[in-house]
Amino acid sequence: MKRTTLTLVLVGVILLFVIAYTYSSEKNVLATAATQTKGPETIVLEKITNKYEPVSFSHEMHTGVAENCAQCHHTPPGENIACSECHGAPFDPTELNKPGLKGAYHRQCIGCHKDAESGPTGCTDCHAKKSEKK
Amino acid sequence: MGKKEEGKDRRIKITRRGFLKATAATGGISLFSKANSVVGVEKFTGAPDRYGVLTDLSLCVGCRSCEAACNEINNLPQPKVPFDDQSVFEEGRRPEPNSWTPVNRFSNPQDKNKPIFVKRQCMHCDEPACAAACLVGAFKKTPEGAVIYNEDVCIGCRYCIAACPFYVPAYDYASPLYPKVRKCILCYEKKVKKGEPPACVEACPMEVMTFAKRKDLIKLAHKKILEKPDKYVDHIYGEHEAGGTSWMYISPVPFEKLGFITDVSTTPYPEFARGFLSAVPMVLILWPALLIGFYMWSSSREEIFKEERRDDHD
Amino acid sequence: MTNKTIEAYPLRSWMREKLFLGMPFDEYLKSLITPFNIFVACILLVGIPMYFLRYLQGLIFVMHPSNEYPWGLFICLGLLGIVPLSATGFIMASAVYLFGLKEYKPLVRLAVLTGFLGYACAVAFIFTDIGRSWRLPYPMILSFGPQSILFLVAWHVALYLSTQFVEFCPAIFEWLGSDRFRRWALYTTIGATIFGVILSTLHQSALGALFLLMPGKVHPLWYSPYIPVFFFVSSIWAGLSMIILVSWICTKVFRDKADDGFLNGLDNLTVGMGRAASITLFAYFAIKIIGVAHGYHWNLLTTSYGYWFQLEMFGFVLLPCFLFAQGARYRNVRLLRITSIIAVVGVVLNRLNLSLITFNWNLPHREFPKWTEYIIVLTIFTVFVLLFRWMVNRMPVLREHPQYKGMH
Repeated sequence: MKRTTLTLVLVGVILLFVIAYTYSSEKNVLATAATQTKGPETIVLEKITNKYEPVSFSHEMHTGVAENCAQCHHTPPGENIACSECHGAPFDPTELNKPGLKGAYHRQCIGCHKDAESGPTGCTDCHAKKSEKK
Repeated sequence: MGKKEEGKDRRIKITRRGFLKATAATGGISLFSKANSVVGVEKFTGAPDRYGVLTDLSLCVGCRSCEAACNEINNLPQPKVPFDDQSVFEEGRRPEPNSWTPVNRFSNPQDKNKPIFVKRQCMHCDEPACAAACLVGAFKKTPEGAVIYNEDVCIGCRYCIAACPFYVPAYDYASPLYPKVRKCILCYEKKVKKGEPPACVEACPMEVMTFAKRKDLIKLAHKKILEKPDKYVDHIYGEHEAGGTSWMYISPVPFEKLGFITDVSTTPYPEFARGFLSAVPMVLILWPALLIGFYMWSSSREEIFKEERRDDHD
Repeated sequence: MTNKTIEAYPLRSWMREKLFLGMPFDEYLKSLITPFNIFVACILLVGIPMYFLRYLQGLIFVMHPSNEYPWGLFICLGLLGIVPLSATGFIMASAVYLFGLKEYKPLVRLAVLTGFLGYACAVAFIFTDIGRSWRLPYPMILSFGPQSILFLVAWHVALYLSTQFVEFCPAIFEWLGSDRFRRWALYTTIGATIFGVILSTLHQSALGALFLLMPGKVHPLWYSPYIPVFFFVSSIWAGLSMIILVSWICTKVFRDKADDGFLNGLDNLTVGMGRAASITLFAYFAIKIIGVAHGYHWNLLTTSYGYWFQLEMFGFVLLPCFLFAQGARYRNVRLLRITSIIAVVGVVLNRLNLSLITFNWNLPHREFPKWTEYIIVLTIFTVFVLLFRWMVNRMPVLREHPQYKGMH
């Protein structure tokens, strides 16, 4: 009588587990397991900026469209120098109000295109995505 | 006379035992009254050179490069909708376990054609409510400014999620074995600890966000607002909210219209718990004294009552 | 098997006497088939597999994966609701041993048992709710966060559970028949009582203080710097009401396990407790008004949440206060017992209002707990009732053990 009760209890517990597992259909269990691996220490973040091909910018076309040179070459007044002469690495603590080169390009281009309501404003409108994306 | 003294002795014996026990217990418990000496409750005057991030909401175009960068550096799983898809702006999103910095779109009352995009993530408060809440001390405000999380001690009580006034942390409810609290950690180990800007800040093509020392950013924000008072609302969100946060915003549109929580207290949140925590040692000392007093008083009453009964019988 | 044979087997005879209520095993099993037990078995048959699924699939199975409402019924009802009702232990023990009200002696063990099992249930709820249940001991042994009020709650609940167990030990040792351990257990009574009152004061109020960190999320009519005081004072009248209620149920269900000392004096004791509860309820009502005044929230009383607040205050605080006073004055024990139900519901309603119903009151959407939460709450509560019944049936809780009559 004792042995049969014990076996019955054991079988019952196993049955409970089997039933419960059959009903746990969430594959998410395994999916989220993948996110726990601690990634490599160094991740090359430049990949983001290296995600796009270089831009082919038509200066001639823009000289025809712009009202005057100062619209783009905003400093110093009268001189027309390249953006990269003044804009370098971003977040210079002595000149926080001056964006870096990437920010300067995008603010100038996208800003004007949005104001004029003509011209490319999306990412891939100006630079195509590189084929080997992560 | 002799009997009364005997009774008194008996009484003192019992109370001494109880007294010793209570004192030992009090001494043991009062070890926990170091409540005020841990980060999260004291006024945050430390780390004056801590970093911050200033977000200029007039510049964001909603390209979601920041979301992609965050996803990559933190090894988060690829979302169902790719990052260059703008359809996600149809619905307002909040930080989720695998999406720590959603960008939301709001209509601009000043210009229908130029919607405002708001990047939302952990504010990295100077005195975080999450750090004050955590019972295992899993959250720490680092000297560099980031509020980081230690998953090795977290038990999953979710008090931090309940306490956060900005509704930021998200929990892995779907993970049975390794659930964690998930939120932006300002790329602390990989970037900010070395003085480099977080991934989202670096990735942004418009440089919407500026990474620098918090005190310099406040000066920058005031300068921007002063130079163009028509362009910006005269308020830096995060300068005083929740007692000051490392992540701050300036905006062309009033913050209430952009989904910001504007009734956030300017008192740091850990201050709200301070009153109670400072009362704890009081109770630990006064209660044993009071209760032993009651015990002695009621015992003596009983003795007197018994004495009177005995006298009545005589 | 005749009685003569069973005594030749000491273990079996011990089991029969202590565990199977003196019946042979097969007879005992037959006696278990009652309508109530079948009802209980149905609940457990649904609840226990669901409990397994919570661990196989994660919390997402038992609750909505909400980060606006991270705490559901397990915390708001299971922890916050049960703890004030488990204040029975420290109230009765301090009344008898510290304030010298010896006439309440027959109720002490019942009160301590209710309190002990209640806190054990609360721990079961916490265990179920936290994401990594196996890490429950972490705040005790691995990593301390003493700036956290929850840390205080965790430590105090653990210590208090142990204290309640120690206070109940005399009954256990009387049941097991161990005289030496029983004497040792009795020596600890005064110290354990004092310790228990200190711990109770702190953690009853600390559970309220948890919400001090969320001034924007708890409705202003419920939020106040005085929340810890509200929680502590309400735990007193909640505990008193709970003892009235539980002792009433015991006279109905466990009448054969109670002795005259318990049954005859119960009416007088109920009147006394009703009086105390009435005074405490009135004081609580008054300090709640101070709370509203302190925050200048009078204008909120006419909002829809304000009407809900008024319902809680007038219907579940002032009404039982008045009814308890009436019942005590005219010695209407039946009225006192019915009122205790209202008071018990009232304290649970207060906890739910603060932590769940009015939580996030200014968010546009409300979320309701998932249906699975109700089932698991019911399951754990059922286990509580079963454990209570098991212990009252066997141990000298409602009666004095014949061997130790008058010895404590």
